[in-house]
Amino acid sequence: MTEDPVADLIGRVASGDRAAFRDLYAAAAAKLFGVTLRILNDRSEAEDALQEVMTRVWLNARRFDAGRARGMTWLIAIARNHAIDRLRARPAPAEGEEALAAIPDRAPGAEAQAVAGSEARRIADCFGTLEPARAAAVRGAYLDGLSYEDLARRHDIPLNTMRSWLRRGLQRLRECLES
Amino acid sequence: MTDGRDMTGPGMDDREGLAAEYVLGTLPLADRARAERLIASDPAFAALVAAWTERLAPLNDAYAEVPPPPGVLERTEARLFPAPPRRPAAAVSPLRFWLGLLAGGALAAAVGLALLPPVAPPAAVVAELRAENQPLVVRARFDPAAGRLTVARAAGPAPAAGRDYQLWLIPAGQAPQPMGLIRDGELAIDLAALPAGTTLAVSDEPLGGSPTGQPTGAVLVAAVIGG
Repeated sequence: MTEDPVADLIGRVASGDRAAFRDLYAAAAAKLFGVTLRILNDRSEAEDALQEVMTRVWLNARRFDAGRARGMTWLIAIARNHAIDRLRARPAPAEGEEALAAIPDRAPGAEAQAVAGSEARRIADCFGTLEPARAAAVRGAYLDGLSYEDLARRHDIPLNTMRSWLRRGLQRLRECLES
Repeated sequence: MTDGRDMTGPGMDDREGLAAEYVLGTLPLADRARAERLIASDPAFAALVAAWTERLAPLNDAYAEVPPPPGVLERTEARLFPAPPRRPAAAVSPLRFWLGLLAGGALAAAVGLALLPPVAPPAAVVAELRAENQPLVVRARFDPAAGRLTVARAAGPAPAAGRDYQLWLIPAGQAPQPMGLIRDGELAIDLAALPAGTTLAVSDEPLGGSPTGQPTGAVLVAAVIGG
């Protein structure tokens, strides 16, 4: 047994253990619903997304490698990817203004306070080396599923400029985390 | 947004940039789909994505836990594990089903030595295509008198968006032959014979079926026709 109870449950789900699937749901569903709800910002769609995420977890559990990832990290990646795919598949709003209004603005720093643990502190420190606007854009993209289009509109700069600006932010994060 | 450090240090190449942007989530749908295809086909790219997933994972702490409404687990289970049909034959496990077929075939062969050939028309061949840990179950029925093979999804989820289930017939020792797509309803194929030793298999393919004429996706379920 590892020190990662969620990973242990995914391992049992991989062998077709339905009781473990229920235990995994009990352990992870609130976090995963938090992910789909925050990205989709619509309870009914977030609920559909959670059902799809749990279906994928059952179908793909054999691909999970406890030696390479923590169980919860793997589950949240599935939830984020599915929620973002749904978000990107939505028809584009007729007016950019409406899309902007629908994106709740969150106070910077609220996330920074929520992070705990040494890994989390380390990435928080590295975020601290980015200029605040760039750090906020990376966080907003990751946590809320903002697209390059959303970000470009929000910061009022061309899309390609936003893209290279954000890529440099990611690159600096990587360098900081690896130093 | 302009500072001197932007221009220093080795840049991320496009593959690494795509991996990072996929994990960050900023890409449009078409680019996300391209990244997902690369993840499936290119282990080096998949490793880049895994590394970025780990790097950014501490941000996950900022997702609040929100208890989902009741019923989601039950609906997921109903989709993954449909209740078995009431006919008792369906309750037989696939292994026992096939052992039973083999034993029955052996018995029929033994008895056939002693008896006249049967005058009744040959019985229909029924097979269930299943796999361990795979919710998809496909039922196939071959009616030799009508020369017709009918195939339908009996359990498990519909194919993912943009995907199709494709049926393959694999005569013993030969290459798979595409037999059609299993969508809602029954797939009916005119077929003169379904000899023992033939494999029926279903693979996960792009919408419209395999572009190559051979299975390109995962083989989800299969069954070998008994004697």
